[in-house]
Amino acid sequence: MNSSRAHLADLFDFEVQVLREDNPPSPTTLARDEAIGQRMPTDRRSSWSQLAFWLEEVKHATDRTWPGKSILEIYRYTAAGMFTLGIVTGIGTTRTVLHTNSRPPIDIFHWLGLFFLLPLLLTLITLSTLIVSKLRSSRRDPFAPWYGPLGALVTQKLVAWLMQRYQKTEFSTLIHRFHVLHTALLRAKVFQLLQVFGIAFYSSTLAYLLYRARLTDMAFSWGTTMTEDPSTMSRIIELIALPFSWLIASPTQELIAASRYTNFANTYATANGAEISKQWWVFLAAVTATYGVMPRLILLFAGQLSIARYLQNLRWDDHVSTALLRRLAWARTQKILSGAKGFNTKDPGSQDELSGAGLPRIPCLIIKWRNVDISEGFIAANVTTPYHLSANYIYEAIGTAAERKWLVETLTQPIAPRTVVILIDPWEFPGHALSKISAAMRTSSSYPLTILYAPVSENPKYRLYQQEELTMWQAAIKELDDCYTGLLTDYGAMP
Amino acid sequence: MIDAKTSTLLLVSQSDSIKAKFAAYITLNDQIDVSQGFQLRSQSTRYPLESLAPSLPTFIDMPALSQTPEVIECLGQERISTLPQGAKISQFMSRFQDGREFPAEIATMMQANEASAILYFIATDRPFRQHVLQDLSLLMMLTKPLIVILATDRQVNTETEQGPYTAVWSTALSDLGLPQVSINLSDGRFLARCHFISSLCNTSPPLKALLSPLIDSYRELRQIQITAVAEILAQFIMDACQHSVRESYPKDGVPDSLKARTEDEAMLRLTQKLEADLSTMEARAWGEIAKVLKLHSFKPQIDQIAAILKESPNSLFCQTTWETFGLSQTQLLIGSTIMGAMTGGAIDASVGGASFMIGTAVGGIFGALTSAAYALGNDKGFKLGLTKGYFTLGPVGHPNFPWILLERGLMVIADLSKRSHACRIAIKLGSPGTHPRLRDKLSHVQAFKSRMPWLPDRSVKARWMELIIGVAGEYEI
Repeated sequence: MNSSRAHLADLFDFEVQVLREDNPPSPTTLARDEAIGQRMPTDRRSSWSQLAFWLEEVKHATDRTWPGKSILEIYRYTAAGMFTLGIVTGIGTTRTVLHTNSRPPIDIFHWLGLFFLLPLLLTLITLSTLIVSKLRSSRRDPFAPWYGPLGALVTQKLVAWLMQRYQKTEFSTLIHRFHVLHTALLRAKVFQLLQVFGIAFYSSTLAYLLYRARLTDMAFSWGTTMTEDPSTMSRIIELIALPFSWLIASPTQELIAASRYTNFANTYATANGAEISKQWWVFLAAVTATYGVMPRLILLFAGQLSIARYLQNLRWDDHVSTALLRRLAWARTQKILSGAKGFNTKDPGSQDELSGAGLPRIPCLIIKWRNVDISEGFIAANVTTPYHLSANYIYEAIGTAAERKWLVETLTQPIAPRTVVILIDPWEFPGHALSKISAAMRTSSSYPLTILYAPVSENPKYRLYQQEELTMWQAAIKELDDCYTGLLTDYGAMP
Repeated sequence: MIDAKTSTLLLVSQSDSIKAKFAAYITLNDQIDVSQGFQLRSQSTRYPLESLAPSLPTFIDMPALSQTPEVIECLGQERISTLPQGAKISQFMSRFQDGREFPAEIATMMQANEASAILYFIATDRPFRQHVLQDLSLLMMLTKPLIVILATDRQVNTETEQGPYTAVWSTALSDLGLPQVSINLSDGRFLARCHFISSLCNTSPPLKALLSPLIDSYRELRQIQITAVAEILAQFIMDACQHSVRESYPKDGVPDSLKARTEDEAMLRLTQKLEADLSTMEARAWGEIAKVLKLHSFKPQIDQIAAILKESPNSLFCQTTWETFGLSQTQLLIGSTIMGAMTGGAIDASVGGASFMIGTAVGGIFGALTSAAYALGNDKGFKLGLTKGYFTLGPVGHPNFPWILLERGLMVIADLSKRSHACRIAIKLGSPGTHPRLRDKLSHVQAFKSRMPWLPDRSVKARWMELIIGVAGEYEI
């Protein structure tokens, strides 16, 4: 699985394993991740290849069911169901339109309405959504072009129902993570299902038309109250036939004129109108294929390519993934360095060695929240050094609008850090003031900003790793319901 | 004229936990959630005191303040800063009245309009932080009596136990000129609670009018509770002293060679059952006592009593308990002598004095000898009987048994009555060393010198209750 591109089944398995993990990571979990990190081959460079290795190791070590393949099976069955439904409705609709016992004979306008105009409108809506979304797209939602208004509505309703149904369960956490991190993927898969339905619908329409044309005697007609000039109709038909005119000749003027049907006289415009009108079936089949089937096939195929690109470009920058990658990188680096010479974490030189050995320093903006009483020396000894951070800024804030403004301006700069570490008294759980600051900082950046809380105190009574407070903090972080927020301690520190 | 019934006192702080603990402490409700956690609560919680007395005010726990610096910043903006204080607040409230921007602060301001006073809580276990003074600056603009409560919940070792930073906070607050009152929320003693209310009353006349009836309510409640727990304990002692167990004798009889073994086995089984029954009855009594004291979190593990019978040093039938609790051997001897003499005296009386008090003397000696036998040996007074086809065991004949039950009960009542309703850690019942000894205290009590109340007699319950209420003060109940 040394691939930089995630597979869907593996993505599901990874997200489920994230749910199963201890939060915060227990000493057992940390030890396990350290061992996996040390075993990781050095050729695993991309984020996903490292996470995939980790997932493989965890799978080997545990005896649990993994739902990824099952979820894909369910999806395939659902797609098969949609395909079947498409066929049934397509045939049913076509039968209704081709009902030959009625007078006047089969009106081609009905056909054109259902199998030309309607799919054309849907395609145009999708394309216009593509254009609008492209103009407004963010990197977080590369699927913006593809889901369309119907797909978005369906997924929104589905997610809301699932979260309500399974609220306060692990499943709702899973849905939430997918909704936040992979919503575009969910929408794309739903959109694909709609295209599968469409392809089945129009393909079955085409097949039924061909079947009826082969085995029965059909007569087509057209009529209108509005114009008497067949040449206008001819121009319209030529326009419709333009995309496939290189392959199939568009209906002739003679055919158009002859197949006009008058309700008053209850007859064709010409004596041989009924006979000539049969030739319409070719045009109608071509219209169905061109405007019904082909766009849906193209959209389906393009959607599949986009999904593949999405999985290829997943950044794994949510807090859980980042923290895990960090712990694995630290373990691997530790192994590299400890093998070379005596490694002393207190030696300032070792920080550069860590960076050189593949554990990059994380540039961050540090906020000292509400007069937290810690010195610069304490920050260096307990925050930046153990977690291998590079403090671009250390800013004291108490929660005013002016501070928010400064933070937003700072984070909007081109080389602004993407991580914010908030040093905070252990009893100061996040309130409205911090929520406002976090929301403001997030809107300032087009990239997801990682916010790490670090409850700290120089007073030994409130020392950083007091378990009871860590547990309360984890509960508070969980309530924030933000996939890009967590505790600094989740990154694992140098001993 | 303040109408106490509709008056409200606002509880304000940066910490929801400390206010909830205060509410639990004041309302004697140990089921209020006092856990710390994420503070995005935007609704206030009302804690009425009408369960104590209908004329008492309601405490309203406001959502924790968290955006005061920004509020102060808003109030300092050019077009507002030049206004008078009251107008500043009105302007601010009308601008943000929907509460979306500053939910806790707006809610507090709106509620303050109708409140009689504001109590601001500072946890003195936490070091001083400058930004807290901004909360007080804002609250002072609301022109309501504002009192700072310096609160701690450290476990009480001494009567004056306070938080480690109390002095620091007190000094920092002194410049503001606000009245300060200290409170230890772990000190559940009646006197401590009354002292706090009294201190609060002294800070302002309106508060005195509102809260001084609370002290009377506490006093009244305490009397009711003491009487109720005395009754429960007295009833339990009487029931325990009369409790026996039995099992049926083998219907087909037992060969003579096996009689002793059968009796031994029956004795063993019945002893275990009797001890389990009595321990369960004791635990149940303690649970009822806790309910009277409104301590719902104290639930003795009745199901597991049998499992801890002899292993736990606190169990009723472990040897240490029988050697440590109850009366001294001397007191038992004296008591038995008196008992025997009284029994003998009844005989004398029944024969119209014709026995010349010999019955009294003999009874006295017999009682003393019996007591001496129990006191000197390890026998707990379990005697196996055989009556109408049943092996029977009990009641417990040891003269110290009711006194052991009494002393254990008094210790539990003392521990529970000192328990603060704000505490959520498991109740740990104290060891004998932390309480006065019954044998020491009883010598001061008049009741001991009268008839020993351990016979099953209806009027005895009243005497047990009288004894318990009389000695309660010695245990600071």
